[in-house]
Amino acid sequence: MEIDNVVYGSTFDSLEKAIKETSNRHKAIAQNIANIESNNYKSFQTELDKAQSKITDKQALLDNELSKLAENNLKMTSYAQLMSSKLKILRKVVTLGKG
Amino acid sequence: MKVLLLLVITALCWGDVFEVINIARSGMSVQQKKLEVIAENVANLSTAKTSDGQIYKQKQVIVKTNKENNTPYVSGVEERTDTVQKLYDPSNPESDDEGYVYVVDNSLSTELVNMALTRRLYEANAAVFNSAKQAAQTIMNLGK
Repeated sequence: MEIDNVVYGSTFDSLEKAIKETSNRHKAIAQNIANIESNNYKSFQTELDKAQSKITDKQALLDNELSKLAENNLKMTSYAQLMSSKLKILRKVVTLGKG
Repeated sequence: MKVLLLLVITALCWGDVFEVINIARSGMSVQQKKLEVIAENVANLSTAKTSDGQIYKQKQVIVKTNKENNTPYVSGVEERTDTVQKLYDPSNPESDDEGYVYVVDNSLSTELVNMALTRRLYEANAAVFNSAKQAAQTIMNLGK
């Protein structure tokens, strides 16, 4: 039963979704930063960001986006590390402890 | 099946990573163009006339977003007219028939402030680039 959970569990799917989500977010932050000066660009915002949408100063806006970028980067790294350890466990199981 | 899943994740993330790199690259080139224009403005601060007899007007970069892939681009360089001043000075040899001379308000401080902001934006785009590279490296090391 435990082994079934390791091989067929939903952790991989959850991690995949998490990585994809952070990856999309990374793209949105990149667009927000690159287009900070464009006059015809509407920045990507999540519900949480809307609370901060009153910021008009470019410098503050940039700092805000850069902090989000750092946070997102850390998240992605941790998800990837989790995925990596999960894969190690899976390898142990499928090689019967030899891998 | 898991390997296939991993490959799918890698493919999905790679697509985004390349897009992020592309966005950061266009952001950096826009900032570079802005720096170029600022350099022109600063270098021509003491210019009295251009070679065609006109006064040198400060230039300004217009940045727009390409709606297809949300990357910024330089849509044009405009001459600023709000910095031109009209002075009454009939003794000046450059004055027109009514005795007016047109001079540009030298604004070194404005240009320098713009330069600082431009450099900061360039650095921010470079930070995004680096972050995308790091993410790609992390994903690449998944199989190890």
